[in-house]
Amino acid sequence: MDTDRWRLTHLVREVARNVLNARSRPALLLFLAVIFGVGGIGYAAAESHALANQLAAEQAAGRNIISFGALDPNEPVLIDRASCDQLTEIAGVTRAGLVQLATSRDFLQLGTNVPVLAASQTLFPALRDGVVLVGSALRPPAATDFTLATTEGTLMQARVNHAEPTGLNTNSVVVVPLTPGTTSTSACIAVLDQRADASLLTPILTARLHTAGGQIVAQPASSPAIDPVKAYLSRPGQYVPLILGLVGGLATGLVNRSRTSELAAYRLSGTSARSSALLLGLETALIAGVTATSAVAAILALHDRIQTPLATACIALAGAATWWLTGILATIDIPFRNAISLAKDR
Amino acid sequence: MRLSIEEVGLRYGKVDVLTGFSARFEDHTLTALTGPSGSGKTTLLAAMAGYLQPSSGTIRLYSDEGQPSPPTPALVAWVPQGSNALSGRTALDNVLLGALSSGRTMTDAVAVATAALERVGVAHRAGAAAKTLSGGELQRVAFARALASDKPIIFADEPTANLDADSTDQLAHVLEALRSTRLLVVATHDPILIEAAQTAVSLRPEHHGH
Repeated sequence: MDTDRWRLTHLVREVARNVLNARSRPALLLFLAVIFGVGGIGYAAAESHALANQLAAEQAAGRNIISFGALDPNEPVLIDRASCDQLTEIAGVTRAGLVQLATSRDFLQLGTNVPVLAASQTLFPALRDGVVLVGSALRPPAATDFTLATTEGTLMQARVNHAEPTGLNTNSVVVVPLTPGTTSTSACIAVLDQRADASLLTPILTARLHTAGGQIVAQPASSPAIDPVKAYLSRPGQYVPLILGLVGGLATGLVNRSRTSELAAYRLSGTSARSSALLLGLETALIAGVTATSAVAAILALHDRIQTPLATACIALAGAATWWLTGILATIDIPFRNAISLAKDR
Repeated sequence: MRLSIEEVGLRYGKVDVLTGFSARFEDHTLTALTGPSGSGKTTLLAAMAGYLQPSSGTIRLYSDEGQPSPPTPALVAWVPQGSNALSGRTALDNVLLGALSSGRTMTDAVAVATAALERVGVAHRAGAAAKTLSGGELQRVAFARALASDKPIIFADEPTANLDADSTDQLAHVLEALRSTRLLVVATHDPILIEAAQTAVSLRPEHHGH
């Protein structure tokens, strides 16, 4: 086996000069590496944006809102207030609390016979500010709180609530806090995180509720046929960086095959096949490193637009590894070929 | 160091390129390996460099102490036909390959490479990209690379094949200047290079063994 005495630092210098050289063929790969690195993440961001839009639409339609109530209307159930309010302590639950349709009242600003709903502050956190919440369908949104007056002359501080999704059904009612003495009602509502798996969480939440009377049942406000989060997590598009890595590796192989004359210059002037292979391996690693760096930079720039940045980064790094490995496999025979046939192969 | 060939046969595929060929190549001598196209000059050079195994006979390198050993590419710098160069890199970078592959420090390698470029007459083009050099300049850069590699043997395969008359003349002068430095063999059928050589070995069948 032929040997040489290349120093590793000098070989690394050769790698840098061959790749980071605008006049060299590997420079084309460097350009491709940046495009693929950023492009793969741009594609992931576009997919995340589509998911965010879909989730927003489904959220408005009641996605991941679970109502707990009596299984049989003839067997009323009472749900313990503390157990319902404490559902917020479970990971994946955004807010939860009891609701009770109290009555209807006449308001000077809203008209007559307006339904009034009593609810936990854990379900409507704005209630903690000492205000009542006016449904968004009852009054245009306002920047400041206002004084709401009943026809009997009772005054209360009020705030126009933001539009609530289907399932909470409070856009046409006035929401007031449950009285401290209310320890149970017949209904509990939990709003789950949009990325949570409702089918997994619902039995857990049901088990945490303390009830008296009949049996309770959990009713989702909306039951789409396809869970967009599951569809997103299993989408083939997430593997685009791997495909780009494969294409990049094959392109590396093609470019290196067009450089046999250059490799012959190394081999015929004393560079061993092993050092030539190391040179090509390091060149490919540098190019794959550039695609990985580009992808990570794109993730950092777009992190708030990507649903799963860590997983996306992992796949991008796997794409870079695919580039390196494919590039090596597509190239590895070249340095071990007869140096004279390499010189003729141009 | 000298190189001895005894009754060597070479085969290219199933075709016998050479049979029963013997010759000696002396150190510090420029030898022209002559013969018409297809006579097996490149194949014989490849076998002499250890890139090919002869189908019969023996090829041996003898050290200055007379110790025999089989030929190995590790001892040979090869100047190929045409221009094998790192086209996007400078002439100096190309010559540095030879010096760096023999383990020199960068400072030392630059000094050796610069001296080699001066020796072949293209030092003024050291900073030029190889792709901007003429065919003759590239061929001289290839010789400089071989010189800088410190290999005791230099083989050149048809170095003037793609050169015009002026470039061939210039290269012949370079070879004349180098002929006492190494065991230098040039495969050629160019009369100018043959004239520049101190001895010639012919691959014409009637000349085998001379």
